[in-house]
Amino acid sequence: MAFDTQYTNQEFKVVGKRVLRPDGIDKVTGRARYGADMNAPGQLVGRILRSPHAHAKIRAIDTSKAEKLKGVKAVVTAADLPDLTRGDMGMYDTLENCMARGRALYDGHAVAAVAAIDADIARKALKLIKVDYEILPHVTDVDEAMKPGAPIVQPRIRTVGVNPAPTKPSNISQVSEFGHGDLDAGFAEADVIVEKSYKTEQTHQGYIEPHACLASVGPDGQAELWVTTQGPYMQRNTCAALLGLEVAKLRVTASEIGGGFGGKTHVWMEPVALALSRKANRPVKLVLTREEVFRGTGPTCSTSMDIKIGARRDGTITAAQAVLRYQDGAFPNIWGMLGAMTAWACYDLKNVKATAYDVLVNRPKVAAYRAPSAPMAAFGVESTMDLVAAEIGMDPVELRIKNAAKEGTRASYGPTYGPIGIGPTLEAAKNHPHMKAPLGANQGRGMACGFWFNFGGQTCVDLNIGQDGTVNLAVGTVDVGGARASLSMIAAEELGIPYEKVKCIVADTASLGHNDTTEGSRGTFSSGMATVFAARDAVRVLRERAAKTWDIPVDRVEWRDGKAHAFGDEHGNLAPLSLEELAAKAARTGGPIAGHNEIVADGAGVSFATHICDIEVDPETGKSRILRYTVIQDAGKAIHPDYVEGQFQGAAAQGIGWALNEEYIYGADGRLQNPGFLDYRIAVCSDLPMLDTQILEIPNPNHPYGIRGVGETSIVPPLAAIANAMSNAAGVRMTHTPMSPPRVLKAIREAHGA
Amino acid sequence: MAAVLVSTTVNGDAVEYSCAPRESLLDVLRNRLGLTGSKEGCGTGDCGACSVIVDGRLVCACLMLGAEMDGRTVETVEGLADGATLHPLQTKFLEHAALQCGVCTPGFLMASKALLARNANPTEEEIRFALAGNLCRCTGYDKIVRAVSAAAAELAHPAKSGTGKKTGGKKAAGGKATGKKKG
Amino acid sequence: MSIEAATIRELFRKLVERYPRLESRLRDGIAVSVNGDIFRDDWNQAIPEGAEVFLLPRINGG
Repeated sequence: MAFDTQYTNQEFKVVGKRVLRPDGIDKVTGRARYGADMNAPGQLVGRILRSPHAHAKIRAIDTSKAEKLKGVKAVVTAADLPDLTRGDMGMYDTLENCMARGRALYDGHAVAAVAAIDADIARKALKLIKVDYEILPHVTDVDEAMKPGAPIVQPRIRTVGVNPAPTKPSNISQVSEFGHGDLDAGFAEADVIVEKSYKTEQTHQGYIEPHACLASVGPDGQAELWVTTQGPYMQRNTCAALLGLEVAKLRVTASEIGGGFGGKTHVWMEPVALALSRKANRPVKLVLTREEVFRGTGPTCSTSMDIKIGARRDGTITAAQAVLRYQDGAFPNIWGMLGAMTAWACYDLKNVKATAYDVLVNRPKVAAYRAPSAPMAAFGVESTMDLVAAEIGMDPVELRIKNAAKEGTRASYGPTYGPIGIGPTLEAAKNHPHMKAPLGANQGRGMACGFWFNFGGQTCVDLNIGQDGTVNLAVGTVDVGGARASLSMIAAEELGIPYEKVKCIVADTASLGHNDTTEGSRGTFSSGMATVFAARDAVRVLRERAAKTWDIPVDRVEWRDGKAHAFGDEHGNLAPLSLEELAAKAARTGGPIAGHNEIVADGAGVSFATHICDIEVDPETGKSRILRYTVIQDAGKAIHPDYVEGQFQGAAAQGIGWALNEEYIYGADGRLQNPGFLDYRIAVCSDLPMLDTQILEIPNPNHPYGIRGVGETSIVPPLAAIANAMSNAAGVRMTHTPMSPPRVLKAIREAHGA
Repeated sequence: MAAVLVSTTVNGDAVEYSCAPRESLLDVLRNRLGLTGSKEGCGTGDCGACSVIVDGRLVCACLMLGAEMDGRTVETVEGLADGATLHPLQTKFLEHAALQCGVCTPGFLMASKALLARNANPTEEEIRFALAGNLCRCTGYDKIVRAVSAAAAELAHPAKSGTGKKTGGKKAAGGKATGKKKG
Repeated sequence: MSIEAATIRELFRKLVERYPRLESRLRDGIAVSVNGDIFRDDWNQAIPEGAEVFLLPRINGG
């Protein structure tokens, strides 16, 4: 049955409150079960052998000694994962990334795996596997990989998107272009033109919980997989395809997830765990080490880019151009293209172009990382915006307000915007007390904007009413940060019952229909929409049951405040029937009462944020300290404000870490030098101040409650906000992230001719 | 190598186990005692997800050996609550939404407990430095710092701040936490 | 260009009639923006009279 997705302004009783989350007690008492916290009878310990070489041909793998070690129950290589991908190159790449097939494409690429009765034996077995490598030349830098004569990472690749179609292999897998207008004419109109090049180093999502799973495959082809993932259905579909299992016979249960941020939207070692279990005919638990997480699972891209903006003295931008070079790791992807789509999305531009090069290097396969690709492009664009403002002597906020996109603006990536929030976030920033707070010596303030798309996608929800009137809500999107609370609130709101009467669970793949992966800030948006409709479906049933009980027409029954009310002259004196009463008598009015919804939740609505940052830079050491930070973002409607703020703060903190410290460091040998939290330094508690937030609510017209995704956008502005603040604090324009103390000190010394 | 027999106290209970000489305390807790509340985020002492208290001292369970525990006292997140009554730190973490994914939470709770045991009234800066060995990738630490500050206030004046929702409580805690006291 | 179509599905059918080489791109996955709202999957989506429609790559988030 179809429901109207249009936003309607309504008074909320539950939505918007700060209730306690239903999974909270489990999580503060240690009871919650994450990926590594599950065990099965007879389980084995799985471990993976990884290539120490950035690029190598694998001539042979000798597993015979490992197989003979007492306690080893299975050893697998690519031979145990035959190619069932039938020409689907994306799927083939996934298969090859799980387990090297005749070649190792990066330091950390899996080449073999064992299952043994304990971890010690598994470790020993890995040492007994002999891999005969022929080391090949490698390339890890994005600009180097584009040069003629660079080692070719994937010989099959011919650049897509150029005319004429090339015949020779290249590390440039794709060239894409977005924009409109006439750049030359636009730059000719400009009073000033600012051009600058930027680089960002590779960062990892850095979830605290390493990848972990427990796989069990029976000889009859029935299988179970317990796994920490953002996409249990993605895991099921991908693993079933790669192993030749039937989709319905692979039951995937998502564990509690210890952070994902995009890094758990893909399969990594799960097909290997299933292959080990199939071969050993026993359950296999496979938990990655932190080093494996860094070396072998998807970080985001490192990038290099050129940004050019032309403007008139009154602040009007006449032309804007971006050339972006993003490395996708060893497998082709579209991350550069996504950067090109987002680069100029904040602005109303007559003449605009963004060109992206997706480039292959000998690094791990790049995965999504929170608003993937947008933070790097925004670093270049928003830094250059400040340079333009300085050049024409205009306030940076005013420059952005003057050029901000609004309803009716043609976006740089094509479509025309509906109601959007960039203008309001900028106005809020302009009027924020933070903007007027005094600054001391060596301190500076910067601001920047950010954009992200947000997604919806396939979603379904089951809502079942128990005999006492309490409600089970089964959803298929993973709860990455409080979604069960928000979705329970929505169900309670629609049914007119207290929040505490609803129990929300994340169902396994055998218990609920397909749900797309929890990515693109879609969890609360799309499952929220399906929950609204499932509850309305249940209300329809409840009204029918009340009508039967009273023996009156159903169109004389309305649902209000958790009760069925009869109305009209003849029926108005009937006492209302509560949800509890109707539930208790369900057996005699037609059986169980439930509501269901299956939708494609589209129309997620784009999202914007503006951040303000104060920073202090020590001119003697180059060390910087964030003094104050403010996030302003449009949430559409904040269902649970605590967790909306939490998303804003968490995204900002990740952006701050990216801006100041985090980077993958590769040696000349192509090996990752810092695969651990000691040398890959994410922001710690003492690095940060309180992170102030301001939630704007500009309803999304395509959601009944006006919800927009909130999870990703606020990782976009911090890189540039910090670079802009640093420029004002220390008089140096940093064009390379991370802006770590050695880089900042070098820039200060160069600026002062020391 | 021969297994080591260990008699120790875990969360107030006398416990005996045998473990391999090279087995970490974390592996013993998780794999032998079924106490999976302590998490392994790195295995190298960098993330604090396995923070436990041994003889009153905060340690990373991944950096100690199970064999070292003989005659000692181990406290883990599973022992923090008093039966059905949550510890004020647990209550305040929930009320302040100081967790998102929650995988770092057990470590933060134990590190916070150790902090409040030696400093009942920490400033924001003291909280931030005391918790700097515990990594959280979800929250940006803001709500964690507020929760620890509120728990300190609750422990100092249980009657006054009560366990009610955070109407005035959060503001007071936040105001205190953002105060510019030098630590 | 201008095309008469009531839904995304009808739009795709007519596009492929005019440009047969588009078929494989549509099969690989494409998103459609209707008056600025992006639709990745739902080909039943109605296209209002005079709507602006953009074909976009089908993209993912984190």
